[in-house]
Amino acid sequence: MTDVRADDAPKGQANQGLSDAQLVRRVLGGETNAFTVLVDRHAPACLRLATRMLQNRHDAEDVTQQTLLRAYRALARYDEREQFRAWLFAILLNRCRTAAQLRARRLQLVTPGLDDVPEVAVAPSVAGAELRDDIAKALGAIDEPLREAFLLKHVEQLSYEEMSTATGVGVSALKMRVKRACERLQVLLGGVNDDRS
Amino acid sequence: MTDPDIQKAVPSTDRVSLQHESLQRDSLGDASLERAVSLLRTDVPVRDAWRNALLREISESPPPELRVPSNFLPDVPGRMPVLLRAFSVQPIAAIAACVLAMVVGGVGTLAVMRRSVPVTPTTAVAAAQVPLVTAANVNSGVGTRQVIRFALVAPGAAHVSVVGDFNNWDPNATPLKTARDGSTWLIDMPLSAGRHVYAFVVDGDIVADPSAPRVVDHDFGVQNSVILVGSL
Repeated sequence: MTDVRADDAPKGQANQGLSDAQLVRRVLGGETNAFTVLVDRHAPACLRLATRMLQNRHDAEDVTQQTLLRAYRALARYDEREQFRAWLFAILLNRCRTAAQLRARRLQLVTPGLDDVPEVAVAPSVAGAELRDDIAKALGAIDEPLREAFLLKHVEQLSYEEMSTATGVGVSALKMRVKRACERLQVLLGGVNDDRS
Repeated sequence: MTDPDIQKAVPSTDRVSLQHESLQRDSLGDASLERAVSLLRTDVPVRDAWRNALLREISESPPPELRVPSNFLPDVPGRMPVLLRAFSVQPIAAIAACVLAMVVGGVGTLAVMRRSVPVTPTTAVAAAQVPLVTAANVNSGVGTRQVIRFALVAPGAAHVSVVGDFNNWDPNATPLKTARDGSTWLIDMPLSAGRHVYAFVVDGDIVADPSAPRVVDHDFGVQNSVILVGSL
């Protein structure tokens, strides 16, 4: 049994200013509560990316939880030459793919042809609700690799090198995916706006 | 939102248009797309209950594998750092060691050849790493349902579940429990008669049953396994 607690206040505060690599070293050195800082630092981005990818808050929380647990257990395999965030995202994207496959099977079994509005969890204001739904539909309409590249680049703002670490795909291919995703989304979102005007 | 990687790819002859394109890229070239990105960047709130549950689960997990990398120096105040020592060997000693190794290796090889024992290649894949999965009928149930035992040897796994058409492919619906050996995961569950497609989910990865007939799911490109329950 290790000791990773949210309210280990003094040590937790002392760890706040450390880099990801320093925190990893501390965890591996036995100070397992240092992982709490990594959780608090990266869980929001993981949760956001998973929510955008899966368009479902519950699934996103599940895969983020799996990701952070797996990262904790496999922390010794983290290579400091990589950005910790990119390493985490690599795990997260794999979990997202698995979750999407399982969910697709469920939908196929239960409600074939289901066309409900996905939950993209952005700015939950009434005024933005329609736009939110449009964005969710547009994101859902593009291929998963394009969606992944677009979100990593323009939403999570990773460099192409970090994206390559996270996806295992070459930089040139990623640039092409981002470009195609933007073009496709422009058409989809522009089409929605044109229809309304 | 600058993109230096893309800018580098633009030929220098296009410098005049570069600035214009760069500005367009900053704004994604499309107002609706710009708005979408802005909304997509808003944080998804981290629920306290979720965070606390996650930290609790981590605290109940075994500590990280302590496979220490070669350049690892613990960064913990008050602890002695690992000292990395450099060895130096005299050239004559190194040559002597090489000669000794060659002699020992040669004698050993001759000894093995003389015995004429056929060498059976052994697989490098440890049984512990190969999921030995069994969906076995443990007893007959009443009517058209039978209790089926799903078993998976997955040492080191933190969470194993079975998913299939019988539980709506829900990875949280049917978790397996570890047996006494600590590496075999088991569950007995009643299934209706007929053909069932299933797979295991090991720490989030879908794993087909290597001991059962597999089917390729053409919709999703992942192999699943098939079990026939009862008489058809």
